[in-house]
Amino acid sequence: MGRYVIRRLLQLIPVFIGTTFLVYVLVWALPGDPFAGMCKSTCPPEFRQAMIEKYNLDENIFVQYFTYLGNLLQGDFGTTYSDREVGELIEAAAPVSITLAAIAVGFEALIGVTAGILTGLRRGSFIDNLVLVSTLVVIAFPVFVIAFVVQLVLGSWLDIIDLTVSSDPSFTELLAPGFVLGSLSMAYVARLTRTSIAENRRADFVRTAVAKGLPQRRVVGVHLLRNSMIPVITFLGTDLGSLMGGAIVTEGIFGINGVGGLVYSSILSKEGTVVTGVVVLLVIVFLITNLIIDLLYAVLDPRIRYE
Amino acid sequence: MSDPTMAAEGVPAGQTGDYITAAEHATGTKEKTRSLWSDAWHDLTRRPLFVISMAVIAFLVVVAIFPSWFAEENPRLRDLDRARIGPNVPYLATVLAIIGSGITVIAAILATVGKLRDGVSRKMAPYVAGIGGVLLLAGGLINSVTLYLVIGALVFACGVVSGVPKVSRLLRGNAGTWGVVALLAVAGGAGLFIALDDLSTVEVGAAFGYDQQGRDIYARVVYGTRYTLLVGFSATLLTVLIGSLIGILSGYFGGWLDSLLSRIGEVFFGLPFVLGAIVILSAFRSAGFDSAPAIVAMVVMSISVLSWPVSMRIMRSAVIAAKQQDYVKAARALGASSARIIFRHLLPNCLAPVLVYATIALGAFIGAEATLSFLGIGLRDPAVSWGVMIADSRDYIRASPLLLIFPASFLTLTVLVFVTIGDAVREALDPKLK
Repeated sequence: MGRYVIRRLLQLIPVFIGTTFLVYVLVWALPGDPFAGMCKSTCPPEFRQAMIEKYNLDENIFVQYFTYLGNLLQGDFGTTYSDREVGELIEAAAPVSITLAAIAVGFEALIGVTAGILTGLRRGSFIDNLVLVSTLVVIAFPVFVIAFVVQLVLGSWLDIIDLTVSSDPSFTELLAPGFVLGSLSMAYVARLTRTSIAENRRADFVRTAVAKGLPQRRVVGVHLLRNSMIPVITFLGTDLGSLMGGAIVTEGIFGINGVGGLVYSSILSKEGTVVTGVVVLLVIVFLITNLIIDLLYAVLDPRIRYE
Repeated sequence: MSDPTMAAEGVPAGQTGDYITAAEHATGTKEKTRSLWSDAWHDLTRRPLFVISMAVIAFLVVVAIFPSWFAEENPRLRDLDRARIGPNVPYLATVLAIIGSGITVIAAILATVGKLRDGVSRKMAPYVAGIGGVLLLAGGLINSVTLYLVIGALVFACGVVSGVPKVSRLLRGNAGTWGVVALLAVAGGAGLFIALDDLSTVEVGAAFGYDQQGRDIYARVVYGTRYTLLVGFSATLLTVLIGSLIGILSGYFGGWLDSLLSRIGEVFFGLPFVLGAIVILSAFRSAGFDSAPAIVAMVVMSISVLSWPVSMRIMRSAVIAAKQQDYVKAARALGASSARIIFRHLLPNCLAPVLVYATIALGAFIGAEATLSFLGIGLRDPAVSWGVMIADSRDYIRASPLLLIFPASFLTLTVLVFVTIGDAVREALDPKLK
């Protein structure tokens, strides 16, 4: 187990460097003036020179990147053009995004898995068809349309939620945005659980469990569910990682000041350090969650051993 | 056939994911038994939802190619005097009723054909009648026309009665079925007659109203079809081509090449989709691409660059599984070159899972284009898509939600149709579900 974890962590390094380098190049090395957004017309040459020196832009792109990476490893995310610490900006924005992603994944797990189990156990029934059709419809709706519909119906017509959340949103305020954020994956989770349950229902271990006279509750709850959850947990884990960065649309519509909003506004205002900083963090989150999920397999399925 | 390079060059033409070519190919080289492809095709053409979805796509493609057949108004004509005027409800209701009645007549024809010759048309008739009924009901509801409502309810009821097995058992025997068919035909004919008559009394045009700049929304929806579908199809094609090529190479040759290509795939896979697309698009945007083809190409490229690892993984695992099969070993023992093994033997046998991914991805990419356009970094004028229209409407959503609802419902319908097809293809090709 320990050796496996170390091998996986070593494998993460090239992927991490590759992804972050890619983003770094896209942000800094492509045609276009990185400081265009800073000055009203053209920047004075002295100012340009100072900026170029500050961000090492006269160096080779590889030197630039590894200098950045070196600072990063010491916990220094760099500063924005207006001299704010990028680390602080991210620290301020992260909690709300993490809460939002957690709520979304919570909804996915709760509603998606329940619907999946119900339909997987009764394939071909009315509920099964109903869930299948409704998941199709949910998949077909782009997330911003769902967000607007929720805003319009719950916010404008029924007046249950506020149209946008407050600047320091509470847990209950984030419920509706979290639901919107998780809606698409909820449909996928329901379908995944359904297929997985339906496949495993015919497996030998389930027949054995039924044959030895276990109550239905235990057959489904322990034997069937635990074995069917592996693909679902993989999906939920990767989703948690991607939702933290993929919440740009939802955060924008509901006016949440999270990581998504931060990175979006920085891309538009060409704040390269913020973009690279956030993407680096997201990539780390993504890679680590994938690793944790792989390790979780062994807990869920005793047949899997890592050596 | 004896020249392996000829064969290798010959196949990529059929590699575009075309069913028929693949089916012919598979049956031609093997014995006369039904291959996976002809089996799947046989299965698919018997699924009413698949056939209906294909019909909808065929229609959308026609609209995309010849938009001027469907909208006379110029989609770029601005007239601030008519900004945000609501839809022309009487006209919209009449048109909906005409289309609904037409579809009802088609349902009656399908039911007749199905009654005489057992086939898919028999299964399709209830669905088609249901769609016709819903359209008629919608037309009746928005303009409160009692006649449309009555006919619509009748047609819808016919659809339900003939579609739900428990209910349709009540109509056992010829008399019942012919009764329903006759009812459908009469209802459709009557609806068509009444609605066409109404059409002469209502004011024609601007069925969906005008947007914030006074442009005809209906015309924009019609002309937007082209770019929406163009982005979806090209992005899928490019993604599948890149992904399959790299996946085959990496699965077939293995070793260090596999490790290298897989790591590269992980690098791109590690980028969150929306974030990655925004970074790429805004980076290239400052480089200045302003013509419509260039904008489309940028959006297609950024979607494909971020999505190819998925199809690569699918292809790679399919190739690794197929590589161990006897027919590949036999081909190698006969001295076939790598290129011949890959294109003649591996490709036709590994195409199924990638094709399934492609059909589902098509819907997803259309949605992705809309999301990017919504964020203001995807398509933009002069390349107008439904996503762009939705993005334009976002500031007016509370004042006039209809600006959002028309393009969004077409977008959702299109994605839904593609996802339905993807679902059907997956079920038809997945041996586990049989």
